[in-house]
Amino acid sequence: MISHYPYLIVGGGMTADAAVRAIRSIDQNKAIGIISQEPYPPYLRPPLSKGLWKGKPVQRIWCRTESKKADLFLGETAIALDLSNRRLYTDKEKTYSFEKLLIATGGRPRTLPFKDQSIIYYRDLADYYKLREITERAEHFGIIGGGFIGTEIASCLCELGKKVSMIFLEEGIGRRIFPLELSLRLNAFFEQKGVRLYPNQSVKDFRKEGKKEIIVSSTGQELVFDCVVAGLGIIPNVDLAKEAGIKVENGIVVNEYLQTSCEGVYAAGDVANFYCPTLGKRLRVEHEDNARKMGECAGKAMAGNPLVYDHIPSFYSDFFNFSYESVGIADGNLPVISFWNADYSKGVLYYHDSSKLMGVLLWNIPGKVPEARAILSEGVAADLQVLSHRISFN
Amino acid sequence: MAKIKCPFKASEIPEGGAKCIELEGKKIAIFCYKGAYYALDDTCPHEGGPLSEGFLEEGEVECPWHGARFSLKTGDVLCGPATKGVTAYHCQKIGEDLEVEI
Ligand code: FES
Repeated sequence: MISHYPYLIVGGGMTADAAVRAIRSIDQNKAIGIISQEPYPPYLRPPLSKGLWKGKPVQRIWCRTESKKADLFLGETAIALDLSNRRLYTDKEKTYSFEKLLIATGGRPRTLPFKDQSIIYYRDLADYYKLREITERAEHFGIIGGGFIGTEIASCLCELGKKVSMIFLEEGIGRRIFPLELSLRLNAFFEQKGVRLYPNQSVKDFRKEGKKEIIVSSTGQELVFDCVVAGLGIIPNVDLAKEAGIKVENGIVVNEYLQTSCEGVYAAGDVANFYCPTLGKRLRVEHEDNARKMGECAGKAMAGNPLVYDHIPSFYSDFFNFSYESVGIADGNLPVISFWNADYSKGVLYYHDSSKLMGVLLWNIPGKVPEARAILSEGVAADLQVLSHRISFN
Repeated sequence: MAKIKCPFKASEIPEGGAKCIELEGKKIAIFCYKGAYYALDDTCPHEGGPLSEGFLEEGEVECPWHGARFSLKTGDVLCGPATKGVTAYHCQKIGEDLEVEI
C-alpha cells in the first residue's frame, strides 16, 4: 500500500517542525507526513547540552509538531527515493508518495575508527538519556573535542561535580571559531574550573578495561576514564538524495528558494548547502537558528509561497557563566577586530576577510543579535574606527 | 481601542493552557491561569517563539524555545534571552465569551 502525502518531510528535527508550521500558516488542510529515524517526535536539540543539565525538564523540549496536524512516522528510515515516480521507500517496507518533499535529514556524528564503540558520540536525545544515566554512577569523564558539544558537555558535567578532562586537536578551546587569544583565555578558565586539558592532541587509541575506558593520546599518554564522550562534528546525511541523483556537494545543494536540483524537492537545515547573499558565499550551517529559519522558508516554498532565503545564520552557546552569540561566519582563522571591556568579561569581535565583514561574535552581551545582523547586511567596512562606534557593551 | 470578541468560548482554553488567535492581523496568545484570562502578543521578541505554546508558572509564561519569561499581566520581560517585553492586552470573560481590547 502506498501512503500519499502532498507534503512529505524526511527527518524529524527542528527543521521539520519549522517547515510544518510554515506549511500550516498557508495550507491548513493537505496532509503532512514526517518520517524520522528517531524514536522521539521533534524536539529542541540545544537543551541536550545546555538546559537539560541545568534543571530544564525533558517535557519542555518537545516541539509538539503533531499539534499542527502532521503525521509522524517515528523510528523509520527512508532508504530510497524515486524521483521520477515521486515515491519514497523506508526500512519498514513502506512506500510513500508525495507532491512536495523536504529532505531535512541533518547529520550523524563523526566517529573515531575504533572497534570498541562505547564512546558516546553526543548528538541526540537518546545520548542525553544515556549520559544522564551514566552520571549517576560515574565520576571521571573524558571529552574528545573542544568545539560546541565538548565545551558545553564539559561545563555541564563539571557543574555536576564530576571530574572532567578534555582532549582536542587544536591549541585552545573553541579554536575553530575563536581567535587564538580568546581560545587560550578559555583554556585558562576551564583549568581554573578544574577541567584537565590535553590540547594539541588527538586520540591514537581507545579501549575498555573492565569498567574503565582508556584513551591513548597522540603523545602516548594513557588517560583512564569511567566514560568517554565525543563531540567531533557531524557528517551531513546526504545518501538518500545522492543516490536519487540530487546534486550534493558538502551537503545537498539548494537554490535561493531552497529547492534541490530536482523540482519540488527541497532541502533545509544541517544537511543543506545554500548561498548566503549577504556574505557572498555558499554555507552549510549546523545550528538551531538556521535549522528553524530554513525549515520555515522551505515550508513556505512547498506550500506555494517561495521566498529567497537571505537569512544570515547565527548561533549561541553557553558554558559555565559565559554565553555568547555569533552572527555570520565565526572562523578562528579569519582576521578579527576585537573590543573587550577591562576584565574581558564582555566583548565584540568582528571577523573579516581584509575588506568585508564576515561575522560578529557577541561575548556576554545579550540582545544584540539584530544589531550585528544589521551591521553585516549594511556591508560596513572592516575598519577599527568605524566599528568602535557600533555595538556597545550596555 | 476596540473590543474584539474571540471566536471561541472561554471554556475552550483549559486551565494552565493557551490558544493563539489572529485578531486585527496580530497573533495573540490568550492564556487561562488560575481561572483568569490574559492576552499577550504571541510572538516572542527574541527569535519568534510561540508564547501560546509556552509554560505557565507563577503568573509568567516561559517561551518554549529558549526560556525567556514574560509577565502574564504586563507582558514585561522577566528573564532573558529576550531583552524586551511583549504587548499585553486587556482580556475579559463576559459570560461564556472572551473579549480582548486591542
Ligand atoms: S524565541 Fe523566545 S526565548 Fe528565544
